[in-house]
Formats: sequence, structure tokens, C-alpha cells
Amino acid sequence: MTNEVATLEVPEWSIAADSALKLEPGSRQLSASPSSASLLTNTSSNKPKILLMGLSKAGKTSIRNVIFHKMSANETQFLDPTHKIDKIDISNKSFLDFQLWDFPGKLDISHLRDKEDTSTIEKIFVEARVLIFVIDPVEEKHSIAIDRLHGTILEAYKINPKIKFEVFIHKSDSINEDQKIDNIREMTHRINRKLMTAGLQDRILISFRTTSIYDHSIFEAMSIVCQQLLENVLSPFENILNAFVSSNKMEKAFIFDLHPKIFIATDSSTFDMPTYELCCDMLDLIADMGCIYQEYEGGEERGVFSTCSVIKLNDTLLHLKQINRHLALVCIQLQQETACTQGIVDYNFQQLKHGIQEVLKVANL
Amino acid sequence: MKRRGFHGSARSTHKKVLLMGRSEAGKTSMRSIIFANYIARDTRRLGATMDVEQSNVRFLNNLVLNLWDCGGQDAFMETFFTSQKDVLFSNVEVLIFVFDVQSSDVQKDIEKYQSCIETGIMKYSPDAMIFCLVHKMDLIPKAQREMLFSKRKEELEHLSKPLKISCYATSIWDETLYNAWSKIMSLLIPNVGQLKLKLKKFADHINADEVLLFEKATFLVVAHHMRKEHNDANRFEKISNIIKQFKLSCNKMQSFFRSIEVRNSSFAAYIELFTANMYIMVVMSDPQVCSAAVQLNINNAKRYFKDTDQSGTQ
Repeated sequence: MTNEVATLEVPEWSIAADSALKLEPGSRQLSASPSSASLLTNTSSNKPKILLMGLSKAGKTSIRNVIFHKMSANETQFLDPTHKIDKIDISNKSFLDFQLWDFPGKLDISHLRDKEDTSTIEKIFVEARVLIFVIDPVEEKHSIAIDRLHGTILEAYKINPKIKFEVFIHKSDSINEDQKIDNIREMTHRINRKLMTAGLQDRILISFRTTSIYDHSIFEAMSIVCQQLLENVLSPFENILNAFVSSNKMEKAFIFDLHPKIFIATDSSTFDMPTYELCCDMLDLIADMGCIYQEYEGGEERGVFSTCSVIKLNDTLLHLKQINRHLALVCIQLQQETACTQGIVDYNFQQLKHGIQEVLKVANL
Repeated sequence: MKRRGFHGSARSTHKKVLLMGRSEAGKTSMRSIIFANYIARDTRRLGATMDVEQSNVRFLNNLVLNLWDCGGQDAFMETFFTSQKDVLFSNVEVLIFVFDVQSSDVQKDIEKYQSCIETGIMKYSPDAMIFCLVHKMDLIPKAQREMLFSKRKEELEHLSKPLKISCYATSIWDETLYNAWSKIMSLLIPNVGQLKLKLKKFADHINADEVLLFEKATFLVVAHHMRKEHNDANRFEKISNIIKQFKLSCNKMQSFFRSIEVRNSSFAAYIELFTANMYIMVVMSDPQVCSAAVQLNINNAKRYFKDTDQSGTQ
């Protein structure tokens, strides 16, 4: 891109060429252990599954559409109720490779058990990695939702004890922070009490999150869920990002999956919601501008994925650099740390890109 | 009322804008989104406007809009056409009448509009520019929108004779709102012709595909010049909308953005604070040109536009 600028003073904190981002020894072992590699083999019949369940009108299909089909939140009110299990393959426009099963609200797993339809139940839960249960926190539906959740967890655990459970306490945009914490505490308590009767409360781990499609909380929640499908690559990615952040004195770095705006890895510094929201907004802006000016010859057909962007705010800099078709690095830098270091950042980014691509190759992704 | 400048000092031009329409048509929502940094969802919280809400909005450096948001409830509208009509309708530069496309009583809407025109505008401000906004178009299925809008437009144009009007279809949920208001504002800016000429010169000089100027607070397009054809005729308002949304997100974090650069293999776009009141956007499609060169050019051009921004007397 830039071919001017002659001599670069290399400050001592940059990464020198030969000691550049090497993969940690641990990540090399990915190729050695066949079992972990096979977890990620994605033949179309046994792609990992994420199940999206909950009562009717809880918001399951809205969540699916807002994240993976780029629907705007206010259009979701026009969606029809789901009548059968929708199986969506996410890998089309996204780095993530899994199937999302969107269940109709009327489908109660424990009823299937009563009807002795065990083969259906098995088909649902085998190969499922995460079960997301969406709850609409309207008071009247609380107990019904808890009962349904309880029944579903028991069935799922019978077939596949390795499933992880996530509960999204949804539609939380109009609730303040204290109430959100109260909601989570109450739900945790009620569910654990029910599980205690089955003697399972120690063996089943459930995470509770408050979400809403009207702000970024649903994207953050879904990011954390999707990261559970990528356990093998998370650690090397985090190491690479940590090295990048410390050598360029960045505040924070994320690797985003561009289309659904989900981050698949971040460095070890504290996660801060406003920073994440700013990065998501930046992605929106770049995607929209790209759509408008796209027609000046598609670079994508030529296999060139070189979107990059710099946004200067009053005291910080936001960088976005595309890594491959689906992934991009987004990082934040404080204004005073920049000073003529664009070339260093670019160089270090090339190293990061190379590192990420190596990890992906080894992990067969 | 226009004021002349003395000894080259800048005086602002004041222009009175009437915003009228029946109750719940969307007048205050529109005004809040364009001028008060509301996002579309926030407008749900707005209550009915009581009587007339006046506000002064500075636009660029040399234009002050005296915005009269007139409550649409029948009781208020009655007084507008009787006791208050001389106060309300004199010296009006622009009348914006808002119609709710899903109104339950279209006949009444039209009656009120006619009263506005006949007892108000024609009598007290016959030279006023008239804009009719057919609003809440998002509630109409896409396939029917154009047909419905054309029908309404024809009807309104016929009713307003001999006065000439401009009609726009709008919604707060997409970029059409920005389109209508950009067009309205650009007719009010005192020295827009001069700006356009300078912009053309600048664009030719740096080989840009397009150059746009936005007003800083509202992000409405003030002037533009394009040197290369583009398919999407609505892109300007889309860009206004996109950047405004980003600006609002930054505001939430108590930040503001100074510049944005987006590039990929086929285009590069630069958005920068240009003068005290304007942002500029330059779009280049020549991949050979490096960003530092464009930024240097933009920086150097600032002082030529600074003069235009600050004089603008008529």
C-alpha cells in the first residue's frame, strides 16, 4: 500500500524480524494429537450443532436473524413464529462452521419422551455442543420457562453429558444493571434448586447471561458461546494477540468474524463492553461503506481480502485489518502511543496474519 | 429575515421553518433525529408537542434555522388557523407538512393541509418553499411503496396549485429521512453555489471519484461533486445515515471522531473534519494513490474552504 518512507527507526519495543510472533510450543502439538483434530473435522453430516430452544415468543428466531442474517432489530417484529426445527448452516458467510438448530417454541422435549420418541430426542442432542435456552423475563412465564428448561436439561444430559448449557435472559434492553444482576441470581437459584432434586446440580454447569437484540449484549453472548466450538485454537490465538498487543502498545485487540460481528478471540486484558460496542459499530460502518462502493470492480473474486481502516477518535485510534475472507483484526491504540509507527504496526500485523493462518492450517479449519 | 453583513464581518442569515402536520405524524421525531442526536428508537419516548415549540438551530456558520414545531392535535391546529395565523405564517421561508402514510383519516389530513396553504401561506408568505413529506413509509410493504407515494404526490401537487411543492417519501428507520432533509437544507444555505464550484475544482485537482461535504452536527450533505458515474443514486443519504449512527455511538462513549479511513482493493474513502462546521468525504478508486497523499491534499485545501464557510453574506 504505502511505498514511500525511507528509513524506519525501529524502537526497542517492536518485534524484531526473527523473534517475531512464533507459535507457542503448545500449539504445535495440535498436529500431534489426532483426537483434538477430529473434533474439528467438519464433514457435512457431523458438523457441531448449537441448539436454540425456549418458549414461544422468547426471541430465538430474532436472535438468529439479527446475528447471522443481518436483520435490523426492529424488523424482527414482523417475523412469523417458527413451526418446525430450522437447521441453518452458518459456514456460508462466516468463519464459524456449525449448524444452528432453531426450535419452535411449542416443542417440549419432555413430551417427546412421553411419546417415547427416543430416536428424535437422540438425533437432536447427539453431536450438540451447546444448548442455548432463551427466556423472556416476563413474570407470568417464569415458572413455565424454568420447568421447560429443567425438563430439557435432563433429557439433554441423558443423551449427551458433554453439552454445555447457556441461558439467555433476553429482552433486557429496558432493564437497568441492578435488575439484570438480580434476574441472573434468581434464575440460577431456581434452576439449581430443581436440579438438586435430580442430584445433578454439581455435574451440570449452566451459564446465565442477560441479552437483548437492541444493543450489543447478544453479540457478546453469542461470541462467548461460539468460542466454545473453537477451544483448540483459542489459546494460540490469545497468545498471538497478547504478543501483538504488548509489542505495539495497544489497549485491546479482537479477532472478529466479519459477517456476524462475533469475536472469536481477544487478548488477555480486561474485556470492556463499551470498547466492544465501538468495535462492532466500526465493523458496521466499514461493511456498509463497502457495500456502497463495492461495485468498483470486486477485489474478492481475485481472492484479495485487504480491507483495512483507521478511525481516529479524540484520544484513541481504531485499526481494522482483514486477515482472510472471514476474519479481521480490530485493535485499539491510545493516541500518544502512535507517533510514526504505522509501518511497524503494518509489519507486525503481517506476522500476526501469518501466525493465524498457520494455526488455522494446523487445525484444519 | 435576512441581515446584511457590514465591513466583511459575518452575519448569520435567519430563516423561519414551519413544521406542521396532524398529531402523531412524526414531526418531533424527525426534528429530534436530524437536529438533536436521537436514534430512531429513542423517539418512542417523545410525547405530544404542546402548542408550538420553537428552537434555533445553527447550521454551518452562517445559517440559523428558526424551527417552529407546531403541535398537531386538533385543538392547537384550530388556533393556528384563527387567532395565531398572522404570527405563525408571516415571514416563513419553508413550510414542511408531514403526512402519516397510514393515517386513518386521510381526508382530514388533506383539509388541514389545504387550510395551511390557503389561509396561511398564500396570504402571509406566498414565496415560501413548500415540502410535503409522506412519512412512516417503513410500515408499507416495499412492493407498494412507489405506487402509493406517486399517487399521494400527484394528489398533493394538484391541491396546491398554483404553488409549486416538492414531495418526499420518508421514514425514520432508513436513509430516506436524510435525503429529504438534505434537499431542504441545501436550498436554504446562502452560498451553496460557491461551495460547489470550489468542490469541483478540488475534486478535479486530486483526481477523486467523488467529494462530499457534510454539515458537522447533522451530517446532512451540503454539497457534492462526482467525477465518476455510480449506480446507487441514494448513496449520499445512506452515507449520512451510516456516519451519523457511528457518530452517535462515539458520543455514547463521550468521544468524537476526527477522521475515518476505509480502504480495500477497489476503493478508498477518507472522511475528515474539514472546517469548523463541515466534514469532507473523498472517495478514490485509484489503488496507486497512497493515503498520506490524499490526506495531505485534504489538509492543504482546508484554508480555501475556511473562507467560504465564514463569509457567506448575501
